[in-house]
Amino acid sequence: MYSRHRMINPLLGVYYGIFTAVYIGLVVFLLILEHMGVVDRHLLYALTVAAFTLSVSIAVAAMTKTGDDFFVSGRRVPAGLNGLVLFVVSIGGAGLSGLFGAVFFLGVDSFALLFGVFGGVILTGLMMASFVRKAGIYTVPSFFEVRYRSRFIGVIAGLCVMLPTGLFALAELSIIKIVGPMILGVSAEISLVVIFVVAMLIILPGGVRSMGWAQCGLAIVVVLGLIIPLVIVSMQLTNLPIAQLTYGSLIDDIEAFKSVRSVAEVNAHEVWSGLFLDEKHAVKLPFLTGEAGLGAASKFSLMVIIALGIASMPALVMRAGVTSGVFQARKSYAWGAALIGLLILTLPAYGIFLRYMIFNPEMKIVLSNLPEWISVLDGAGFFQVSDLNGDGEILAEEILLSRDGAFVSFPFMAGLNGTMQSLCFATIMAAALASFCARVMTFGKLFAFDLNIRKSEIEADVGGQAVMIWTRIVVFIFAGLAAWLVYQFDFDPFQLFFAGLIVSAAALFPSLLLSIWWRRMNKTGLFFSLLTGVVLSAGGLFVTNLGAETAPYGLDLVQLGCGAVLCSFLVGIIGALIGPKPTGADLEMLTEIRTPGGEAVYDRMLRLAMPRRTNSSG
Amino acid sequence: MMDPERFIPYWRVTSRLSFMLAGFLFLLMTLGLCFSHIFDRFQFLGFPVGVLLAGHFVVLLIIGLMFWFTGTQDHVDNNYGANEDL
Repeated sequence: MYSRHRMINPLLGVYYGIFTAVYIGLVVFLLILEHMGVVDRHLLYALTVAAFTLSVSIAVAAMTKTGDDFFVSGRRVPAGLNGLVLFVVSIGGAGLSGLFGAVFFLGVDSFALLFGVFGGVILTGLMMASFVRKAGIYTVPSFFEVRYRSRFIGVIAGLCVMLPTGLFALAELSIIKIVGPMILGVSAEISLVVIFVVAMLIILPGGVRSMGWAQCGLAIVVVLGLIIPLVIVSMQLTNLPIAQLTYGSLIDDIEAFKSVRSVAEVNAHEVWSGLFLDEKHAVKLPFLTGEAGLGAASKFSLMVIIALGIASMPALVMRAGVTSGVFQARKSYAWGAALIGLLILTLPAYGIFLRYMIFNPEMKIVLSNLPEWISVLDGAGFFQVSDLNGDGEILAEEILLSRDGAFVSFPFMAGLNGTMQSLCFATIMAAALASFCARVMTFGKLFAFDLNIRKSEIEADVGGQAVMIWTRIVVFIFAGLAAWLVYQFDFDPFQLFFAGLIVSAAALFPSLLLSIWWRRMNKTGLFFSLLTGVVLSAGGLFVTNLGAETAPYGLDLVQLGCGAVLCSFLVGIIGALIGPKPTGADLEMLTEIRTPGGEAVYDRMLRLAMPRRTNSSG
Repeated sequence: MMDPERFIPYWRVTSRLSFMLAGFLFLLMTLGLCFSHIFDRFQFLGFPVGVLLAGHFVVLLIIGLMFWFTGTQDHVDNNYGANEDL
């Protein structure tokens, strides 16, 4: 007898209510301290440290010794809390800062990116979540292995998953390397060490269980950090606290200011390409781009490639497995979509408010009296002002912002106090940490299961300590290697995030979709589909220098990515038609995965493997 | 595992629901993204109507439809005896 409600802790809501109350209480306490004269510098990292400490506390409290808890959180995560994790993992710190920068510089055309993330979570919820949950597997390659009953396919898929997972992990560490020194007040390398240590303290005690509960806390930090500063700025600029419903009234004002401040309008495609470069830009494109924007075809292809990348992101797909059942899995993606929807309502408000502050003549910056924060942001490489016309005033086109600097500049530009600045900074650090942990854990499971030559022994002893120790070792090594790589080389976080999405979309989406929804699909088709997707998308990344350049024939990374997805689909279908027809056992397995009722397939396989091990050892 | 007599109609309804809804939601997003700017010359609640349609209406409608889907698919599971509780 299976019940969807049987295992969920009824006090979870209370625990996270306490977490939220403690965090808000800390914000209020810091506001009081600041009012008493504690200097801003001490406040800037206070909430980041608090968010990390609270998350580590949750993770340590969720320490576990059982395999079921370590790899799938005991399959008792409620839908709402899983939705929080889906939200924070799907965007991460690199995505959040990149999306913010895109909204700020691109205006309404940036909805293509936002809708892409939104559509990705929706696609997973509609087309994959329930089947992944029923399969009950711990990794995406294991899903293919169970579906096609082929160890070889599991290994190939494991190799293919490594590339996007590695790109996503490096993207999160890269954003930490960029914003960490300013937020934590330490060097870039120390920032990376801090994130590495905190990530290990979150993952090592209890694997997916400790990481998942800590990610819920980090997601709450992200949501609060997005909402509270915006409410305050909305009160200042529009006299109403609900920015999502009031920012529209400022769009006309900004257009009127622009005529005063003579901002040249540029090609939207140049602005979009500029987001892939490590440069500071002035805001030149109007928020309402209209016909002069990216164009319907470009926006559609951008939305689609991001949606497919998010939908097949291994860390996101596998969150279906931690819920208590198929119904809860579907519902958790609806919650995830609701939170992404909140982000879509919120980020344009941030973009409009920041534009309003830059273009408003009453908020002009005078060269003879430059605020102190400008030197702080300039020193961090996010912000630059230069009096080009020599009139002693800084006009809008003389303010240059980097893509990742737009978000961290917001509280300074709005004149928010140190506590609110700290709240914004904690947001981006929490998002990056939560996402980094998810990528690292994906890697750990990949090496513990799919790329492990002793997989059958592990499956027979999945509840034992050996596999968990091995996973912890892999997690430690991979996280350390990623931190070392980011320390040694300067990567662009948004480029890496976008590259991860392209590879994920091309390599995994066609394979997952065909494996679930097409009975004729077989391991031949899957093999060729996976390889085609990885090779073409990696080739696209190479020839476009991770999207920073245009490929031959004027093709950009988005077009190449869409082409790679189409080729992967076609090759998968042709390969499946050429290969042998699925056997009765293959179809039985598919039917079982498609049926919500009954025990999870992988759970049953593990249960049946246990006596075999006992017998052989006896 | 379900017997084929029950599974085939169940799967037909499930796949139709998933694909039709996914198609409809992506159609909504595409229309909101690519064509809503046509209405930007009109204003409502201080917003250009195009922004309101794409940035609010489409998003809230899709969120509502996602929750509707979870309930409806659960009813389908129940009606065809495929529910995990059964």
